[in-house]
Amino acid sequence: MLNPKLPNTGEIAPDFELPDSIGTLRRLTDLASQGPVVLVFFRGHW
Amino acid sequence: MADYREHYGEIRATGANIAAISVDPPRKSEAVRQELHLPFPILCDTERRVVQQWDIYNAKEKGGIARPSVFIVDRDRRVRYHSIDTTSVRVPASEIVRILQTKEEARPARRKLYFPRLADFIRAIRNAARFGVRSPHA
Repeated sequence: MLNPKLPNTGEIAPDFELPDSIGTLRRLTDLASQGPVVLVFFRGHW
Repeated sequence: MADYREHYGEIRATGANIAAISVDPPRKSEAVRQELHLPFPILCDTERRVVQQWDIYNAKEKGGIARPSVFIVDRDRRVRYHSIDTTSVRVPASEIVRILQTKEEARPARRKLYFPRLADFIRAIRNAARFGVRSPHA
């Protein structure tokens, strides 16, 4: 496990690949290749 | 999340995409997505790898969840903006839209900067025409 590190403004965010809710794998690099990406982290189901 | 759903058209109109992320498994995330009629994907960091690597992991609640936070990541994965919230209140989507629009506006002739409100007004009308009648299910 890499050391936890908040990607600060101006830095390159670490890439990731995660499944979405219907199982499609999504890679940050691919998302970002189409334009800026807004990533909204949330607490999840309540 | 509803706030970001309401601003989805405006965010897309700037050329940006949007994705939500939580530690919930896909089935739970899909239930949330349908319940809230979210027109954007929810990514599932079930193993909590990303939230830990990005240092936005709150281990103390609900078996470990993401801190409410928002990032704007540009084409080269460079972070343009982030907001990490300590409570469940997050940065308003309207503020994110404003930031996404700023870079576009900063480039053209300087004269444009004298009329930022007029530019916003025109864009709002254009967005309403393009996205205003869209169903959230679309």
